[in-house]
Amino acid sequence: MSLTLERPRVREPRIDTAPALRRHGAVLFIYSLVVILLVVASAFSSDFRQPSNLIDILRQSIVLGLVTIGQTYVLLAGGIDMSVGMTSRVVALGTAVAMSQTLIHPYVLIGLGLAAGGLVGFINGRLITRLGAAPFIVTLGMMGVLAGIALAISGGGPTDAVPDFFLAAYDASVGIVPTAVLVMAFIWLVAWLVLSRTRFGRNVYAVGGSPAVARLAAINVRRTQTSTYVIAGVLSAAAGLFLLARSGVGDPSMGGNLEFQSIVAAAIGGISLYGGRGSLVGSLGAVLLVSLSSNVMNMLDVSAYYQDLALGVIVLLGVAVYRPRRAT
Amino acid sequence: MTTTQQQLGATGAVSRRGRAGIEWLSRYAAGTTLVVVLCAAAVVTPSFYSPGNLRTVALQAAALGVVVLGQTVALLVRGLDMSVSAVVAFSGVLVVSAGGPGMAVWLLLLAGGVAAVVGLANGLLITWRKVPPFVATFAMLIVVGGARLAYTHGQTSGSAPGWLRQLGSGSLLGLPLPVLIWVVLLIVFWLALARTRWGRWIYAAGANPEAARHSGVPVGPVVVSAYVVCAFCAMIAGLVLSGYLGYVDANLGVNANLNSITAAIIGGVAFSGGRGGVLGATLGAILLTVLVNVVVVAGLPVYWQIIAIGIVLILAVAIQGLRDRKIAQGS
Repeated sequence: MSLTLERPRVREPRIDTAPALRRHGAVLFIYSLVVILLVVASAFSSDFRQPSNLIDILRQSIVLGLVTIGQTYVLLAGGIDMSVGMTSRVVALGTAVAMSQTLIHPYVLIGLGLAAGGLVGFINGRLITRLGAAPFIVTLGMMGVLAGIALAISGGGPTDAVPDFFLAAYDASVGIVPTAVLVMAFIWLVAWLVLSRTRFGRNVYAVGGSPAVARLAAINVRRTQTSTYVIAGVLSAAAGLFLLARSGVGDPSMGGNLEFQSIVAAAIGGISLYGGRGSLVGSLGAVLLVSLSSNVMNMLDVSAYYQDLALGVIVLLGVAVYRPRRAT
Repeated sequence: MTTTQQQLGATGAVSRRGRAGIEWLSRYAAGTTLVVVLCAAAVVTPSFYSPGNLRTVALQAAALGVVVLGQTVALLVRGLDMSVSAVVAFSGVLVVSAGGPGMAVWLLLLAGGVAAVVGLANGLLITWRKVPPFVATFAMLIVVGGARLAYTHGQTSGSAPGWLRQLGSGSLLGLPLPVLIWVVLLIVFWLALARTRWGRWIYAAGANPEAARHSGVPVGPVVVSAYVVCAFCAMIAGLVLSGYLGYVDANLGVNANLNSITAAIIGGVAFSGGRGGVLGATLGAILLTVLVNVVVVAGLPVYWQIIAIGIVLILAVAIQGLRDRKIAQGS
């Protein structure tokens, strides 16, 4: 019995390219779709290949990107988080109300918002690890509670506008590249480094691969799993704050469906929903693909009525085309 | 290491009484809570018991209850169906576009066809392509929802044909027809799960697919059948619901996913498959409907509805988790 806690890549020393191709099939598939879509759309539309549009695609991918990073951590550790969308909604609405109705410094409020997201994740993690309850159901329940709280905060209507400096953060840019995109690229990089180069990252894979084996290897399974929910909570809160900066007012429907989109993005990107397999590189590809395809459909004037259908078919093909390798 | 030691200590301390208590809770929690809520309603909001309100609760419970029957079967085979809300909504499209006079047979055929296709697609994605149930049925949710939007251009509203309205609002022997349909289906499901070979296969495939396969259970087809049954239940619920409401709009069935899964879990159906049954799940559906109704009748802000559902769901799954842990430690 091997107790290897390295990533699966290390386990098979064969030089044969076929297994590598199969292992990274999902990732390769996603990135080839991204490249094909980029090339075809650039060839057919001059509006599309404008640098400003390409940068816009990156900017549009930020919200889903933040949530998907957190979801990827949770999935890799063998969990699932259905409450991420409502976390971002509650944080966005709460921050918007607090900014317009209290005299607390906005920076403090941003910090509090992120902390609130972390608290939601911590509660999720404690409930799941201490009670041994199914992650899907616990976080589904949390999603309901948070949706109610969001409704209580907003009363069903838009909140007051947020301060101008907050909006300016959305528009700030270095040269032609928005600061937000640079920050996001940095977050992807850090998230990837933590997952692939640190002890914590290895623990996440080990816990998701087999909690029992991880426990025997003296890994604190509960703490590792709880940490992934906290990460997901904080990143969802950040996504909510970014949504708020983009729209300027707290919209009571913001953040809806983010939990589904992030899970589907991770699944298309090759993250196993059974835990322990996949990488953030795949998740990034899937997030870019979603952002890219919705931009292309808008460019091609595909009616909004058909966009959902098209997205659904893409997702269906994406998950049906390759068989995920089951953990043995 | 500390974790292991803690667990070893806990194993020694497990008392039989604690285990029996948890077992009892997980089996009868929905019924007990229902009685408590009904008693509380009698004290706090006696208007809950007005005949008109009771009728409303019964009809709402019937629509949810039928979806829950199917969802329970999907949960029993270690799956879940996230596409039921789209199927309920799609039934509305069929009602509007094929609900003309003399079209009843067509409507039913079409509805059956759509349900069969959705159920088969779900089941085959899960068994043949090994897609996790959540992702497969969620992809179907987007596809079916997208197909509805593409076909209707967002204008699903319309009125239900006369015969369907009679079905939705008529009564037989003092019982509203939807409630009667629900009760008949419940009996059918209970008999099928408890008394037939198919029922045993469903439980076997959910409790331990590998062992079931080795003892000759056709696990693949059984799982596919579970999703087909689930899609049919959602379709029936959608037709009954649009008949009862008398009209169809885009809001038909929006909460069917969350509510049906919640009801089944509250009713003691294990999320890990193979345990629980339709009777418990039905109690869960009634509890959920009563809870939501009491919040409205008591005049509480509407957001308490969803908060209450969320809290009840977390409590229910916590009880299940404790039970699983006790069972694991006891063996």
